[in-house]
Amino acid sequence: MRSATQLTDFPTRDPARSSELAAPPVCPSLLAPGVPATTTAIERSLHDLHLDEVISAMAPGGFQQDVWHRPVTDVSVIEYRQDVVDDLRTPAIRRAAEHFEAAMSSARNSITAKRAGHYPVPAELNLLEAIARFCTAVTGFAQALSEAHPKSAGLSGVCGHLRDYQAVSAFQDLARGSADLLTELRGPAVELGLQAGTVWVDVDSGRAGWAGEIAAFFSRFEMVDGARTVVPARPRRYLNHVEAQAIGLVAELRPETFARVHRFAAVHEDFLPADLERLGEELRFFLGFWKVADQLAAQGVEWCRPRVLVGTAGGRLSVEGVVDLALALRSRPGDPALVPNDLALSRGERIAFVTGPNQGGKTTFARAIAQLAYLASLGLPVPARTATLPLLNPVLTHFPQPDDPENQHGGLADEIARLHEVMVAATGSALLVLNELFSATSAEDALELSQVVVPEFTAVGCRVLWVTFLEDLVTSVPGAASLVGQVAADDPTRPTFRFRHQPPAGRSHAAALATRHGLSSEDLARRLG
Amino acid sequence: MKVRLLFSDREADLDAKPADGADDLVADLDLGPVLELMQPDRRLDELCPAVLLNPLTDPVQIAWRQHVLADALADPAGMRALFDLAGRALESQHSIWMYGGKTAESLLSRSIHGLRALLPLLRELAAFAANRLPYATSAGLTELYQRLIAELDTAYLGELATLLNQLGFPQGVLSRARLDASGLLGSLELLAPRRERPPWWAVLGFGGQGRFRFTIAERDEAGAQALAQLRNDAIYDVAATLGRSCEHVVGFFRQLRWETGFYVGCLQLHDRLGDLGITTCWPVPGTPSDAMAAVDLSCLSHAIRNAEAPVPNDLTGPRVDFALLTGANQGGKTTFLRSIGCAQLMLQAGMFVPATSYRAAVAPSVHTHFRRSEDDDLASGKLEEELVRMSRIVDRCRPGDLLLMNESFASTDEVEGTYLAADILDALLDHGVRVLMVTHFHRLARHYQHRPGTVFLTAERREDGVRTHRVLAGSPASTSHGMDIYRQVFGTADAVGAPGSVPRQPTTSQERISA
Repeated sequence: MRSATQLTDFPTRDPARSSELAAPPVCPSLLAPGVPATTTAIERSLHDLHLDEVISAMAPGGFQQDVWHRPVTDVSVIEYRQDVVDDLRTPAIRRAAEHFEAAMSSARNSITAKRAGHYPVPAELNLLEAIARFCTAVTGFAQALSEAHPKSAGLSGVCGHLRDYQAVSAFQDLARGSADLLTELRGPAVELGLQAGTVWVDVDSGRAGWAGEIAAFFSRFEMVDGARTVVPARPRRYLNHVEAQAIGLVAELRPETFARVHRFAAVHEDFLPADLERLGEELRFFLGFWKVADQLAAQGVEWCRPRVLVGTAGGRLSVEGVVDLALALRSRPGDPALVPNDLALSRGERIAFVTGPNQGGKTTFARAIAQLAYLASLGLPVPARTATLPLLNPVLTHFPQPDDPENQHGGLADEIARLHEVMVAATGSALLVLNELFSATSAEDALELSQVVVPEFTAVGCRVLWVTFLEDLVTSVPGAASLVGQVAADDPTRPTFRFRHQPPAGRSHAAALATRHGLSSEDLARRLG
Repeated sequence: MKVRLLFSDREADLDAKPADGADDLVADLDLGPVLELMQPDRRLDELCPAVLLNPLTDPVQIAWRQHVLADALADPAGMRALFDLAGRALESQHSIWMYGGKTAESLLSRSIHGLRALLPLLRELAAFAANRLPYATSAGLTELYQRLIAELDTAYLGELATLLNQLGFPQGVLSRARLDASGLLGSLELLAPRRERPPWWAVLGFGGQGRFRFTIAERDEAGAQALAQLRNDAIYDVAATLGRSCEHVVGFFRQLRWETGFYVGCLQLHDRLGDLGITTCWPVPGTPSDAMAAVDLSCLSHAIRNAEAPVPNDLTGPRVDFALLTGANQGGKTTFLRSIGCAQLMLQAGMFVPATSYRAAVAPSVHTHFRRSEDDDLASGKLEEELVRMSRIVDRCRPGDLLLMNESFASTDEVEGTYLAADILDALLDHGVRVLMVTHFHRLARHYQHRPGTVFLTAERREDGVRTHRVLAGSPASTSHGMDIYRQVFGTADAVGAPGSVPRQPTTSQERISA
């Protein structure tokens, strides 16, 4: 499924292994102080909540997707990550981290290319470049971190590790060796000749460039007009056998330099330490998040660090100004602004019903809350103004499945089977999002079935966010919260996409619609009478 | 290479759009047929609107154009030949676009072919300039000819021919390169060919090609493609430079075509006015404190549309900042308003005007607010449309502007219309806008009866009720002589006998407005 690079492929500071005396110091992880306790998300729930879209936008590779699929069960790990996230808001740290991450990626590509063995001379040059970039990136990242004084334990640990690593003589040899060779390589220019199928290379004769001469010759024709020329983009060239042979000519022209490059590349082929490579992947997780989060922030999405509470403080859920992240990702400039919502649930309100007009944003509202809980459980910021919530893990869903709408009975059986799966996975810290549960049967049956499962939820003690049109159900569950989609004061047919604590609104919205179309009971009586 | 026929100090902007509100000017002043007549070439449909509807305000620039135009009128064939030469230069480029493609290589060959085609026309232009220079009297044409002679000398054009040959790369493509960060030869910079004669062995195709070389196999198509890409990169900066240079040369001819085109348009208009027997004169741009003085002013758009010489009007007066014109329907009021508007635009385009003498203050902009539909139904949408247009004019108005209003707010009743108009007029007049307004709202006219600097005009109606289409000084009469028209239509004076509807005479003497 996902790429072969998994969390477990890299060394981490595992308490069990730290006792091995001979092992060199390992760079600390940014994801957790040790090996984090996680659960594995259910793919269908991610899909129901549109989190799969969020993940594909924010997770650039297999490693990052893996992190996104493993919400944390330990609040201290969440806070550890939140601290790292906050540090990465500092522009200096962010820039250095991006630079480091890019250098790590290109280093990995260069090593792969060298191992593949095509065009050896260009591959050696490429590796040399990658080594130089890597060394600069390590130095730059260490420097930026020591200057910026990161507050997080994660980045402080990385900072200390990089400082030590830089001081090792092997690293210094690597940095100096690659820089010197590059200066030697790039210094003198060569002359490249092309005629018919022949390519030749010689030392630079120092002759003048022609373009400037030509521009000067025509300068008398320059007027305000002239920007109309469509100049094609400069061609992008890639390595191929002709390019490789041309580089080969340069190597023939300067044999000593290229011999040194060859020896250096052979010695340092495996220059990339595994723990720093893992650090690069971890940074990509956070940077991938911030890249998209910042774009959304520019469109008006607010991000905050959620307070995730446990123990006696836990249980209260209070969110202000939350928006649906997937909807934010899909919106284009000029689209109507997203409507932020608030939600406040006390400890006792384990079940919250969401009712309101059709197309009034019920599912979006429930999704937004569930996405927020999921992001919080990954240790990431959430798209809201403020958020305080218990650690909700796992986040489970039960949505109507579009498959096979014909088979009503089978549909209900399938629904109940899926509900059973959800109940098996549910724990006291779970969040269940139920969307039109039992939609495959009649309203009467659905009400009856719903009233049967409510005590099951209560027994598990999980939180339930329940989108339904069964208003009788809402009033029949004591202690449940009721959230109702609002309509415009001046036009009861227009939903505002905002939700409020209040008893179910009854048929007021439908009545307004009917009146507008001349279909209220009085209208019908008159018109049919 | 500067053209400078339309402005003494800059090139005309070929992308200039007519000033805001130009659509209203064209519609209200009925400029469509005029612009069509002036259009010198079917591809230059935007030329005359861009020049005519972007009025000059600097008397120096107006004089600059008047002098070039005087040269053109003295030697119409010369101006037309210049225009034609520029047209042939542009046409020579049409076949160049067959060298399509988006690579540097195709851009280079396109530019070489383009410049080869332009070379004989540049030679012809230099010869033409030398030939015509003695006949030019205006600074604009004289300086243009002198520049052409100086900058397109034989030596320069000979060098151009040599350059185009060298760009075929008889000695191969030679460039400077450095190893770049991706491990390839990058930062390619094409080198100028050797000035000295290549040695004999290079001419024969041997050597001179570096010590280290390789040749791709004959059937190596991937190799040939890679080589082509390398070559594209090597010639890139020169191709881009030559492409831009070629466009500059073409741009010069495009500029020449555009600027001479306006004068050719003026020649066409002048010929037509001559055919219609309408005399023209050079108008005198005045300062804002100058009075307007027109003698035998004809309405340009009326003359062109109806192919007849209209009744000319005279208008002399003190410095008028507000003129209200009332009087007989179909009495030539709209035509009068248009004749003023057209003459103002022609003056500020550096053109002649259809009058025996004309002087007026230059206005930063000319605006028109004409009633768009002649029928009288009081649809609310029409008033709104009028207000929208008026609001746009208010956005654009600057002190010194000239606003021509024709039956504004006639889509509502006189009381409401007067209130609306008076408020707007007060504000505009306070702002320093000069207004010439035709209205049948006598209530509005009376409102301004005692305002200093206000002049009342009336369309002439003789004792016998016949309208002469002349505009005279007057004061607001209380009828628009609708009855006259009724009579004319019904062909009898006896058909209507109600005493109250007998037309009244204008109350002041019917003489020219004089200071």
